[in-house]
Amino acid sequence: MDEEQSASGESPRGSGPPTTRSNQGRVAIAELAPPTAEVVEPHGSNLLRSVFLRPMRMLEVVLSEQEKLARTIASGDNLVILVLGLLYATVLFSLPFGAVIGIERFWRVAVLLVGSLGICLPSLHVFGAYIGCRISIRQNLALGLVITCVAALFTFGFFPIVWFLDATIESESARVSVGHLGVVLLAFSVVAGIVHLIRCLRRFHGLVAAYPLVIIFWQALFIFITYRMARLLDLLP
Amino acid sequence: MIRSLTVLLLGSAVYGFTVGSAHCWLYATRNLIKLPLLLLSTGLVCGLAYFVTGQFFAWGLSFRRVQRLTWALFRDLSILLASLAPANFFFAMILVHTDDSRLGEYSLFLGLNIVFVASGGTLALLGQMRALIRSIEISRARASTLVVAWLGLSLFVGGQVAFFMRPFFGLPASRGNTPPFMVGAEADVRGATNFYEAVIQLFEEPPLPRSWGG
Repeated sequence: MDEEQSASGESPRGSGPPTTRSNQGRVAIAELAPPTAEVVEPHGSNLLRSVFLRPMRMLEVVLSEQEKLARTIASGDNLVILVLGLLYATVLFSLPFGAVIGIERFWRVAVLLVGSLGICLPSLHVFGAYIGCRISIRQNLALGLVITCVAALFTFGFFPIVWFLDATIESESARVSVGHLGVVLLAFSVVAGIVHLIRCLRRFHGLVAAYPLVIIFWQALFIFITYRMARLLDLLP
Repeated sequence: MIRSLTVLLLGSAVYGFTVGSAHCWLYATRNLIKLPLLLLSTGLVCGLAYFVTGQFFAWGLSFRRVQRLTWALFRDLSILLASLAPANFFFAMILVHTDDSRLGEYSLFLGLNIVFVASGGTLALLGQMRALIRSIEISRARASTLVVAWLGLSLFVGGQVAFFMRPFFGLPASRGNTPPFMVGAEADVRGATNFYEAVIQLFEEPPLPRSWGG
């Protein structure tokens, strides 16, 4: 177990629910953590820090260990490192896709993901708070960044495909251009991010009953803003 | 891995040869290279996407494990197709010697090969799904979703690779012509310049040019 974890009052694995600090909203979800037989520990700070040097580890942090990711966000331990890591991975992994759809503006996909989240984040936090969810802004930011990070990871997986399509399709004369196909893959990536957020949220039990409704509303807003942002950034053909 | 790759190349080459032999020996010999190249290109271009989707649906799969599973899928498909090669070759020889040198039974041959690839592909998919369930702790539903996602990616990319590398079959009417090794992004008879346009045209059914009897 990490030292920081011990310092935060986290109880050992499987020995009972975590201790929480009531003066901070960021621990509110931990109080609501499921009474599972085996309590999963949050991600350790060493793993989260290693992401900056070995970015592919973000796959492990975000995709492979959902339970741990949810736990990390819920407990609030190492949340700042997690948020920075998610942001770093979002930008880093979306750059190759951006580069293959237009090298001169390779930053567009990163701006699309981070920008859309930045615009929509206040609404998630305020609506959540309004219905009584004691989730801190950092926790909401981490939840939102799960979408963008997973989307960026998928765009990273798809960039060789877009490169190949660009090499084999003459876009000037084609009805279906690389731009169209790139948008399909980008949309798929964002949907995968949203699906993953839902999967992570399922690990949080005992949330306010109206919270899923807020999330559904917010995801619709996020999709709409992402779409408009994509138009603004000239990503849509 | 090398053994799997060799089997994949040999199996697909044999099957490719039989596909081309329904047209002429030029197509048959070219397909010895083109069909393995089709599978290799698809696998390479999709490699990273296979891995990310693998992580998304079944955590705990390493990059190497994903590559092994997906290449095993292609290898199994190649073996299954190679086993159908004698039947395909037999039918191809009948067509070459009995067709009217115009359209002949081109559609039947094409349809038969679609059935062969589809049945081989389905069987290979089921096999790899079982292997996936055996190798990691994963539910049947999740394993099938993952394998179907891999199939979808392969079709999405493989379709365009095949379009770019065409012709593989060839109408009997075009016998005697020497087309380039790969036609590439050149428009097909109905004007499609890529696989996705060709798929749209399957539903729109635009008329053939007059020279083709449209």
